[in-house]
Amino acid sequence: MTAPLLSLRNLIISAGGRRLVDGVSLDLEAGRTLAIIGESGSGKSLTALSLLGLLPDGLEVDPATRITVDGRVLAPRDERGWRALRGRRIAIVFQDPMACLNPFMRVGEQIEETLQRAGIAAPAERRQRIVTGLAEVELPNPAALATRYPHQLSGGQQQRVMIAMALAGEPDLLIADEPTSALDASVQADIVALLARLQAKRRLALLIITHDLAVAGVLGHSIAVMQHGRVVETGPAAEVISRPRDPYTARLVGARRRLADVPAAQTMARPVAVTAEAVCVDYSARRLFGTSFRAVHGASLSLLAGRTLGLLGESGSGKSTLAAALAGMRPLADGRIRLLGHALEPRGKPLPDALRRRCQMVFQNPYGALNPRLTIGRALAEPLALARVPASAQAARIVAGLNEVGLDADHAMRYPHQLSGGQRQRACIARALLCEPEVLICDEVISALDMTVKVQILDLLKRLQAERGFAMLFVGHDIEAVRWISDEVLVMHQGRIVERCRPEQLELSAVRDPYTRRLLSARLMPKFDGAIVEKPGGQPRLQVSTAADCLPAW
Amino acid sequence: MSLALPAKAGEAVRRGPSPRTMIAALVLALIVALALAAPLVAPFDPLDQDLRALNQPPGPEHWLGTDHMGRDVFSRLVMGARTTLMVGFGGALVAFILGAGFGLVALSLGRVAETVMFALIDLVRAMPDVLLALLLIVALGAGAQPVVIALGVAFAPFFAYVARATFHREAVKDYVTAARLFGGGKLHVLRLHLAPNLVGGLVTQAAILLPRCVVTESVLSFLGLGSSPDEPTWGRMVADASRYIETSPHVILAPVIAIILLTLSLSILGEAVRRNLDPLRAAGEAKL
Repeated sequence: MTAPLLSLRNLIISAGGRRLVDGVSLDLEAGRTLAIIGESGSGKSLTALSLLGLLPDGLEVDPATRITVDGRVLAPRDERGWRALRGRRIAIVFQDPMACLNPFMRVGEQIEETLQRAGIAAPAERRQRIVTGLAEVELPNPAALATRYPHQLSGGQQQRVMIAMALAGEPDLLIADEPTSALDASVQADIVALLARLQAKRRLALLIITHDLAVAGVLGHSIAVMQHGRVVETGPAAEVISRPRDPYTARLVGARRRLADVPAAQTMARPVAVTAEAVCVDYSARRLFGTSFRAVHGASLSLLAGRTLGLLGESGSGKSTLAAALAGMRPLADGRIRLLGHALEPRGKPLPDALRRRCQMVFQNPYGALNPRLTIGRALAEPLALARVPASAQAARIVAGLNEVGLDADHAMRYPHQLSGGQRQRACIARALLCEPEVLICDEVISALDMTVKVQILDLLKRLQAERGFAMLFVGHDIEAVRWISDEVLVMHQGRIVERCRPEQLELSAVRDPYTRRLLSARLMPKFDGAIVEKPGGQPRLQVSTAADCLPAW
Repeated sequence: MSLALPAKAGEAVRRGPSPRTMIAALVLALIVALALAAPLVAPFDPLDQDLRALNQPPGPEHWLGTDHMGRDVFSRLVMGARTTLMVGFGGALVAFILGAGFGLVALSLGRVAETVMFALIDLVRAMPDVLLALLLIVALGAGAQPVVIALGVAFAPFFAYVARATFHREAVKDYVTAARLFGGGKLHVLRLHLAPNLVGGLVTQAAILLPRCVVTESVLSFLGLGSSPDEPTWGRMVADASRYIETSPHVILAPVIAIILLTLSLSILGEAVRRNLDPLRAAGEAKL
């Protein structure tokens, strides 16, 4: 094999004496895919940016660093040298397509910009190339789509446009920085499959930056695992995933694998904590005489003490709205909720404070759920003070509450921004538990967290439930997590509950609803038994079924 | 895309005030000190007329010269600082109390009350502030007190708007929802979660409006509608001296420079206060 297309030797990036990337070396050959996997702060995005000469100001790159592209050595700050390569030899696709597309420019014009920079002078040829480019990323009716504005496209379509833009200059190396993290699960699979097809067709060198083991396992020929700015393990994808050598990789793979095993469900009669009958929730019209929007249509469910009900759905499915309604925080448009013996009805009596305390919520973003001006201790004192616990008894309860979720008494002194995401979420859980809730509603509580932290929080919730016996509603979009923690799973789609099953039945073979089938088939799962077979010639080795494949054939 | 920033960002942000802010604070301290010590500092009675020395240039006897009636400019300047500062600060304070109070009452009474009461505020705001102050002074009579009230009413809407914006921004935060789940009522949420955020925005607004109050007071005095004629203010000094601007420009320069120095230093300090109290700054450090 000839010299690698891209070679990175001993990349060291530091800020203020602290090493953010510490001695990373990578090689990438044409037609191969390398997946860099790591959690937030591991330095993977900085590594990617350095390969485009796009490092933000204020970061120092060690002089020992050598970046070689196609045999040419480039200094990290050689703006002129990098500019010649960007778009033409190396292109990048970022995480959030809406933030990367100019909202004032039509899709076609944005791609034309790249083409112009790539030196295609004839307007007719550029128009032709825009259409073929959009067709190549499998967008329907490309000629019409080129005249649209970004906000008129869905998230998945926007990301396809971004990919078309990146490929317009016919680069040899495509860097994709978390290309699917901002997308819904079913769209994510489509984009991953598209990247795999494009990579094979164009013989691209593809560098995927991701935190998701599944994306790395499906796309990557080889995987590099990063932690604290270092590459802790590299190797062929199948080997890294099935036989991790480094303890951190093993933890990462183990976390994912644990979620894949569904624990045996218990069968025991339990008292009912919450029931909902044909609940409808509306968002009121913003303007006078406007029509209101119905977010939840006739949802019925029952939540048993000591059990967990999983509520699975994509963004906009109404799952969070339903969760808020169950906690008595949203007026009902129709239907009835019985929460701990109190009936919630449209225009009915509000929940009495004593009961409201018995039903607590934990939110997705632990930063927004903690007042940045209050220390953790003062935040935890809030529910106690409102429950009229005497001030003398509060401190002991707060320390006990912190210990219960695995935090120390020291944490009470700190402000939210001084804690990590996982610690903040633990503090939020501790605060909710100080109310001695009988119902705990977890609204996407692990979505904002890193993989290994996710599993810790799930473990914590399960342990606390076993100790305290509260009923739990676990709202999420992550199939594995919801299935792992739940005793029963509901799937929501466009405001309706479309599927209701036991977690172990959440398999393609067992579910009936077409949407649930689509959701399940779009799921990316790395094969833990090493079944990924290396095929020569850079072909995608694992066929990812797309939405179209698994729609029922009627 | 997330960029790892140094963990000690908090320390880097909490550096001391910039030299600009220090100079502004010094200038303001000097003006306030001169105003407080005016009877001791002023070499002459600001109303004493020396008809033998009209429009004198600055000299050893009259440090900043005399005006068209032979009054000592420096003495009038330091004595005038008292009225000017008092009216400016008083106006901002009245605006703060009126605007924030009215706004918070409107917000805590619910959506209908909020819409109606803020429509009233919009009505007040629809008039230019100088014109509104003029009308109020005509109704209330001249003097320092009516000027303070007029400034307060004219600038109150700004505080109400800031209160409303902060209120709506904070009310949708998850920690407010959490507080309601703990059984916390409106008052509890207002006291524990909204008040600290409101104070930041309102103090900032006060710091921005202070120099505007000082200038508006000067404009009113210039128009002859400010405090009584025997109380020197900077605005009145500008008005009096404007007729002699061609023959003795130094007389008008003194109060004009004083107004510029005061408003500039207040603006710089207000900006520093805004930066220090900005809730986004406190919250943004960890997120960035």
